[in-house]
Amino acid sequence: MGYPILRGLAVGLALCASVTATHATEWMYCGDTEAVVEVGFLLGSVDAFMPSAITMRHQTMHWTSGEAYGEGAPVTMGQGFSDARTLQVDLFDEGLSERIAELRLSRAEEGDTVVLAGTLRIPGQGVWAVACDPS
Amino acid sequence: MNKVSRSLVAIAGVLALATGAQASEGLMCSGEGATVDVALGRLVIVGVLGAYVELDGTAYSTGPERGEGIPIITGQAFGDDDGIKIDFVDPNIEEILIKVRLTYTGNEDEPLAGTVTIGEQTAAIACMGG
Repeated sequence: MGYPILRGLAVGLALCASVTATHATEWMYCGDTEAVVEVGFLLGSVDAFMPSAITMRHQTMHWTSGEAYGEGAPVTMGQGFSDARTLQVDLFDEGLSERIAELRLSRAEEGDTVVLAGTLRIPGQGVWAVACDPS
Repeated sequence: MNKVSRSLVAIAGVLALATGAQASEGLMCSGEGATVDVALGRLVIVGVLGAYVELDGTAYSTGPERGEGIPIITGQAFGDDDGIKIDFVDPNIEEILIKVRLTYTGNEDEPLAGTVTIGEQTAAIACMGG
């Protein structure tokens, strides 16, 4: 899904679905257009950003919050916050001693279209423009 | 160490919520009809260990060790150079019940100030710290 408007539409549909489905969970993925990086969050229906699982990939490097979600180095959410305009997430290692990634997104709506996009920074690796959509 | 890290460490050094079993520090905020006490871990991020919130006579608490009140749990929290924001949700994780929004003031006695919102009610609060 390479077009921002399609990504936005998909995000919008996911948001609408989340309003009506109590306790439903759905993956939201954010990645760059070249597919160099991708981060995913398993989210519930509450407006607060409370992912029950996290995965991240940078080229051949993988991180995961649990073996059930794939192989990779351990990652956990240090802090995260979502509101009507932004989504901010800091991912850490298991001991909360090393910051693994920073996700900074802006959210905008026009009609039925919702776009959620911004930057993903992996310290020591790089920073990428990313957009998000559910799978 | 960035601004939020410095501020959190400073706050942690001054405040102690003595009711918790573990040595925790945190924010003690007050305003007209409002009290917000948040226990924080000693981290460079906002790690909420527990909280007690009261607004216009209605109390909320993450557990009896923080005080009696309607049960809440931490939904999301974030701190950066601008300030700290925390949302508390119901134990079934169905909706956000309490929103706390704080910005740095530059005042050593009350380094953070902002609002607490519960439903349609919002109160201005200022938070003690070093």
